[in-house]
Amino acid sequence: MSGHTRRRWLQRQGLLAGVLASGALGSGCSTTATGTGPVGERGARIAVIGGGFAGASCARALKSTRPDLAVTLFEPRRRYTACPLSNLALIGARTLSQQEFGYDDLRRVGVDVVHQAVAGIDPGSHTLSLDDGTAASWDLLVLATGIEIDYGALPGYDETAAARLPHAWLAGAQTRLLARQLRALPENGVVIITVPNNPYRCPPGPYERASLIAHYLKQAKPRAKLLVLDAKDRFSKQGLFQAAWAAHYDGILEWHGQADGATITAVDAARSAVLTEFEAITGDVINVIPPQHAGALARAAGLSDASGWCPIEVPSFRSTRAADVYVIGDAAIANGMPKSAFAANAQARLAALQILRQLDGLEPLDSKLLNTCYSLISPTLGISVADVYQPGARRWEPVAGAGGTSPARATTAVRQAEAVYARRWFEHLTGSVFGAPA
Amino acid sequence: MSRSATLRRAGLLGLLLGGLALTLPAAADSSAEEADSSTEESLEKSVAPSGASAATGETLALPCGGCHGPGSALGHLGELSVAALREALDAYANGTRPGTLMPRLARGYDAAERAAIARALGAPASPGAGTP
Repeated sequence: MSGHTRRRWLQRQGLLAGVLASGALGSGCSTTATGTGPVGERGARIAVIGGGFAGASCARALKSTRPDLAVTLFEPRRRYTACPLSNLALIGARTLSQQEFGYDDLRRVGVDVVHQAVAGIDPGSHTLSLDDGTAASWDLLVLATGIEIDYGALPGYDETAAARLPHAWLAGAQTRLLARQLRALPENGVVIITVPNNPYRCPPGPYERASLIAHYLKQAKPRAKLLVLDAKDRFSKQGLFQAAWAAHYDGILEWHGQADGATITAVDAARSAVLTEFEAITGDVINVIPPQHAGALARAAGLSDASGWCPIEVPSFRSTRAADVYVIGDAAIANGMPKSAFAANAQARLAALQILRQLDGLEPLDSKLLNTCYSLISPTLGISVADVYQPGARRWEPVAGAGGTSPARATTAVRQAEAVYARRWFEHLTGSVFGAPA
Repeated sequence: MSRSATLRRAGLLGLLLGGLALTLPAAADSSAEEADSSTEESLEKSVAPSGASAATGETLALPCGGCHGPGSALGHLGELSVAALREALDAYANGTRPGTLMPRLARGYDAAERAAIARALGAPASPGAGTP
């Protein structure tokens, strides 16, 4: 895959480097910079790859703050399907259309949105190539491509297997597939969710999903069971989740961790089974949340390291592996910061500011960042985890004494309030990033 | 049934903390000292040095926009005065104002940082309004 991409890229490079993808890219551009210094105050060309929470936030912040910049957002999809709250869509408590957002509002503020997949990035020549064969030059590049499923990391789990045993970890068609399978589950059926090791997108997400599916089974198929097979023994908001499971889903939801031998070593899609070191476990519906990485584009461009993710400098979010490249959101190694929509948005806002400083020839600014992740333990009950982060020598580190989870003992009213706040947060964040729902 | 093997091994959960280290005391307990207007100086010391320029209220306030802003049902901080916002942040940090999330977040900022955030986000005092 990467070799193929690379070859195509090399073939094109001689012909296409320097060709502009769109007219907007050409306006008043300075000469291409080759170092980390200023690249010219006006008209610099910023290429943002990926139109999720990180990329769309960064593109908007850059263009809104400095309208003279030529900001191009490369995103193959015309509509973005947001992951937060999408677990509600699995159980029919929300429609996926409520999760979908377009790019018209970004265009309205002057961002040039190009619905093409980026086939290759060449940091050396400050160019990128698109799937349609065109190429574009950039002065600064922001990689915000999120996660890719690491097919090949789990034997037996490839795209064909995912069509039978959905991951539903990229919201959209996979979410619909898993929702359909859950509706068709036999009355006494068994649902299995497998959870990978860290790091992966949305650390508490698998446990919110387990909670909501258990809620659905309790209402609609009380004789069915949910088995969560986890490669870890410790997980986000564990105490709160396990207390909620004991209180609400006893006899329905069963969680097993690595110490129980629950780590999945392979998948047998034909038999609808997952394999541990000890046995094959069959289920009527199997949701495989597989290992993830920053993806083929980042790897081919040399922006990811052996971990599969992209190392960054603190506090600038500049790549440690290429000049004039920034990496934000799930693709980046932000250390203590989780791969979450909130973190992606916060990183994007700070990275936009750091980019403007680089354009002005200034050194990066220190700052603190914060993250908040809400999780639903039922459609009407919520919990949260929050942390504040500060730059350490080489990593974003949590600020001691701050952050933490919702209290273990809380009234129903408090849990209900956090479920309401989760929805309000989603509405505000998506509205401020994408505009109103498409 | 297929779950027997995993059940056999239940009860062996590791008790090691895999999560974030939250046991150290806050780096600077600022509740005693009231930050004055010389905030730039204070901020210089407050964020760990990494070879970068010192944080400003504007940069510290950036992530607040994830929840707060015009039209947000979680509140638009620009509708509060600087003084009211600072008072609220201080009260959250000092544990005198209840909240689901904000006390956990406010504790991550010292008094000077909270004051700088309030100045960055709060509505400027209107002339003659009597706010400092």
